[in-house]
Amino acid sequence: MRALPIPVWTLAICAAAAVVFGAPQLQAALVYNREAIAAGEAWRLVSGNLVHFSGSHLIKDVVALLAIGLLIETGRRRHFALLCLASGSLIGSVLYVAEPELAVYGGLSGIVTAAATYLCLHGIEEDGAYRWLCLGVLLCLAAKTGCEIALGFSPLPGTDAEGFALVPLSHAVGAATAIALFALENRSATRGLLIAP
Amino acid sequence: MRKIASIVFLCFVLGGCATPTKHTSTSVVDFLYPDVRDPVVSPGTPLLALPLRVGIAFVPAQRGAATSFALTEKRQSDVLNEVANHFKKYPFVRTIEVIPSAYLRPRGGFANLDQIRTMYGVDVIALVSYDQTQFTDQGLLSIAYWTIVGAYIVRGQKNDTHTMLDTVVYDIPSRKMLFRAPGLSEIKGSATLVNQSEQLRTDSEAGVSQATADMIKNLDAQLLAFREKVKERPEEYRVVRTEGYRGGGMVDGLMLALLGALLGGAYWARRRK
Repeated sequence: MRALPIPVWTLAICAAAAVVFGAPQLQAALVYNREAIAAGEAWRLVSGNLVHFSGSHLIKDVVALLAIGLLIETGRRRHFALLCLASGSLIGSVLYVAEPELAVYGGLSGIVTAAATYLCLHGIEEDGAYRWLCLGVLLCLAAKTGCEIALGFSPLPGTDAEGFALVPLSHAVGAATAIALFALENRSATRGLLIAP
Repeated sequence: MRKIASIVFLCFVLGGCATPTKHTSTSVVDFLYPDVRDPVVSPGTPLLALPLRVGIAFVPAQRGAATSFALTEKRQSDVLNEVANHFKKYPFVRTIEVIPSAYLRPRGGFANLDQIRTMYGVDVIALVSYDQTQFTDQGLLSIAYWTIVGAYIVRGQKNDTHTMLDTVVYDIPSRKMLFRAPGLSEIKGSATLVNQSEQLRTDSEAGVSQATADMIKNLDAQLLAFREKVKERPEEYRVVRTEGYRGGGMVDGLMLALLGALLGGAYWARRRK
């Protein structure tokens, strides 16, 4: 029996988020801050995803990322780190362009949405009931994100009590990144099959 | 003689019990510009400090004017809370303070709004006014009222209730109207002669509920249009961001449930292999 691989990236991101939460100086240096980004601190576009504004904000995001990252990394998907990096930087960049009123942003949920979408897209290619489960989850995610974008906030209770407003665009960008990466992977695989003798 | 008495009785029943048209309303114009001899207020350029601190209140009725069946103080507070709960989730809204009617004077004008601004620390106020008209007619079935019992069991009264709620959003310091959104409702109903007033009250309340829902929907659309207007015309609306304006990405309960299902499904699938 082969041992399951250690979910290195998942553990690293979650640990980083926890460390940042415990160090206010780090939070100040890493949070997505529109003015600081405009002044040249471009790393905040990515690192802002690691900053959380409250204990429950951190716990919800980290628990979700642990669950989904564990599934992806133990399922031997190769591109999890690339997915996290790409979605993290795209979320920051798109928010910078599309949400000029937003001064400060933090949270991992955009990356969690990207990871969940990526896992479900790969799950659809598998056999059996798991395939249908992934399809169902993917549809739920699409409906939820669509609802959030259309309304401008999350209609679900509990997301407005954290002293900050939910930014639905981050979830949409995360999902779009996952779809793009999945499409690129499939394109490469198809090309590989065509080229092979 | 008996015939004349019957006709008189019929006139009494059909005419005397008919409810006249009932109209109740409040007016933002009457509240904000009470004295026509006053010079017209020239609005300045609004400075919107995001996230906004917003107040929301019903425009007070004129002294001595009839008030709506449905819009009691409690119901007004419920409507305002419903609107406030809907809008406080927007990232550009820091707080929405529900302001009781007692804090606004009829014909109070901008001077009254300045007092509210000081008391509640709000810069922007949403003023909700209403207009409700109820028409009552008697249908063919009302002939059954002759039997006396018919007045209790036959729904011969036809009621129409037209309701409009209107929200106008003002920037208090600049006296500038930012946007407005109406909510409309039309309810047709019927009632027996005896429970006519109860039915009118029910229709009135239903009208307010429907108009509130419609107004919230329209407010969403108008708010979106206003955001675009602010972006397109920076010379008309100045926007500054304060430190508290922050947004976050947070996993909600639905997401956690979906991930739990995925985790369980994946575990089950791997065990089967």
